Amino acid sequence: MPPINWEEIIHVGLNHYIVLSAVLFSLGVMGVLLRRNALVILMSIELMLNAVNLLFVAFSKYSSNVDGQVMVFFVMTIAAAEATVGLALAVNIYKRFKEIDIGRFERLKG
Amino acid sequence: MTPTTEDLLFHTLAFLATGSALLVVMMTNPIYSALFLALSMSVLGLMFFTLEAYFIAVAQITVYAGAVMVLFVMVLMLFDLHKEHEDILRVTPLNVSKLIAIGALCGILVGVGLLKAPHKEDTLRKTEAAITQTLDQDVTSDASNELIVAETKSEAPVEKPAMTDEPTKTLAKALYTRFLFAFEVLGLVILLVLVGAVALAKSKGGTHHAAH
Repeated sequence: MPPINWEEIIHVGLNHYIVLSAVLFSLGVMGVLLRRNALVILMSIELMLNAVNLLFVAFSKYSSNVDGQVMVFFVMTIAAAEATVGLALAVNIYKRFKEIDIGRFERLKG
Repeated sequence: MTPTTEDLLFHTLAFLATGSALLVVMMTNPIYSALFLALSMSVLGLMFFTLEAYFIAVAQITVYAGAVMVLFVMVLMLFDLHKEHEDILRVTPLNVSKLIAIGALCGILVGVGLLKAPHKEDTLRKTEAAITQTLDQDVTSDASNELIVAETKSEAPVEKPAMTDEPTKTLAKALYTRFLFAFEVLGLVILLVLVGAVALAKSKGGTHHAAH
């Protein structure tokens, strides 16, 4: 096993952002998979989108190309729109079943 | 070995972001989840500041930590959730297998990211190697020579809007020239979402009882 290179760990580079973004994304996936509450699932999706945004901005900085930031702008707008529709759906679910467990989604047909 | 201020800032912000993201998932009360999500968004906004993406940082804080979080908290207030008991830490085979899958996903993401990310030093080294190779080679094999030249060219970003000392100006120029069509389409998408959300809220009266 090679010795740990503390120099590389302490000094921030692109790799740090990749790891942080992967961890945040996995936490979002964890929320989506483990939670039953539809609102917390929506929040976890926001978390995943934010992890991707962080990676976009980091790559934009380290390749000194502004296109990544334009993509972040678009992702942000779509995320806000998605949250709006998701919350409207959650309100409908609550209205019908008096709770927002995602197990109720399958009974929404018809 | 001594960390600079930027290094310390990054590690602090990264710790805060990861911790609050974990708490978003772990809190049983959705209100606390929402508050920790707001904290996580704000910390990521600060991180965008350190990455010199000033416009994105401000947009992150106003749009996410401001508007979207207010929407979440308002909808949470509409619900009557105090009788919710969610046991996410229950150890069942399903939960354990989910956790293992998430760990594997994280490992794959980190591994692929670290292996495939374009490193500046690597690119430089490759370009250097290609150039020395071209210099060493005689003009005997024109085809391979051209190939190498093409490769060297593709390594260097062709048309790169240089990030000057005015990052926001550069961003605005890109947004309103090369990405203008996408920008306009985005406006249309938002209009559609608005109509859809209103339609959803009107059906069956939303949170209010429909007037009979």
